[in-house]
Amino acid sequence: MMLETIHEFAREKLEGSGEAEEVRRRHAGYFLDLAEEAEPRLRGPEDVEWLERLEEEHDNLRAALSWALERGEVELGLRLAGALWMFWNARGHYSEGHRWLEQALAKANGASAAARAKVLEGVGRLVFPSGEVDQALIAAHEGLELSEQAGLGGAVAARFLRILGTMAIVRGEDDRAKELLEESLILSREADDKWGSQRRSYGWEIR
Amino acid sequence: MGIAEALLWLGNSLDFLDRERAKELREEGIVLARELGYVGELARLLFSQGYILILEGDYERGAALSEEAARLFREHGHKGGGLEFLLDNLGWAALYRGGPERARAAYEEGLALCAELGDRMAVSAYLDGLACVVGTEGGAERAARLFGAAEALREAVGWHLFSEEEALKEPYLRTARSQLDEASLEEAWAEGRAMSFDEAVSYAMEKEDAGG
Repeated sequence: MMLETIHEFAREKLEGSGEAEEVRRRHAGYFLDLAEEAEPRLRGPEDVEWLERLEEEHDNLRAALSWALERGEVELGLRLAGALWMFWNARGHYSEGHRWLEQALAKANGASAAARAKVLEGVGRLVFPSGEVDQALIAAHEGLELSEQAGLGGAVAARFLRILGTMAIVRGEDDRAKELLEESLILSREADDKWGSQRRSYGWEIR
Repeated sequence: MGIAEALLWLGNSLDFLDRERAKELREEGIVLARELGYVGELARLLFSQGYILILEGDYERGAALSEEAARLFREHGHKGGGLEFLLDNLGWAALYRGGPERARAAYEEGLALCAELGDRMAVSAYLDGLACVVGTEGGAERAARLFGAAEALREAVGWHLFSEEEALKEPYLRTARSQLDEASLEEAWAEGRAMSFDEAVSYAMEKEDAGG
């Protein structure tokens, strides 16, 4: 980690150079690439290394998110937040992750349906531990509707059905939970979504 | 996030409707997650399967699956996404195998983790667990407060417990009831119910004599 004084010095030099904005844009782009490269690897044996890497870069990721959201780089901000929710979930950064996702959603007008849906899925997942069932339900309903309207496919719809089904379990609505989760399994099987790759499901290219 | 997760959650939804199918679905998910090396989902599947075995009284196998899940979560650096609930399995398995100290250690570790993560649902489970441990040590009033705090928190998050889950606590509730008169029990229970989230966590983590 850079010493604070050196960091400050570098920041002042950057501001004075007139290239600060371009550097921040490249910085955000680099960390979007990193987050999207990490995301599919957070499920398998490589997760130790990638979770650690994202943890080490958490401040840079925060800076990239802040910049994107402040500068109205909506798609970038949504994709970055959407790529990070599994990291926030695995590391227990529930509150912080939820805040970023909500901030990204608040500026989501005009963004792609895929990017919005992914962020909505993250909201549905991250609010669950804090017991905010209503918020999870709202996000999941919105995500399901969006996935159907935008034709995002069965694998994506299946994820929102799982959130709704999970909430039904929590509320003791057994039959409703069964119905939702049966449908979710059927859709996941139809899509042959074994690995659950977010990018493939949401239509982004796999590296 | 794919088929393995769908199998996990459909299985979980069927635990109290069609137990055998629930177990088969999770078993299929376990095979798939192992084949893919899908660590987080494998740990969650093992943890849910282990929980049901514990509810059925098969504490040995329930604990074995839960311990494998805990090892996976820990080795892979997963702090959320399941570990926070899993320690509850280990607590129950230890408690029913006659190891209240091991149970206490599991519940306290789980409580500390969940308090840090702000996981209110899991905290309510650990309050219940610690109430059971405290009750075995003669701390009936303290147990009643913890049971009351857990109940209020569960209601606040809208979490419904199934009868088999309630049955896990039942012997310990009976013990607490048998050691207190009705008025004292109700008073302590109400004090627990009135605690805020932070107060309940602090109270549960306090090291005090059993009677406190």
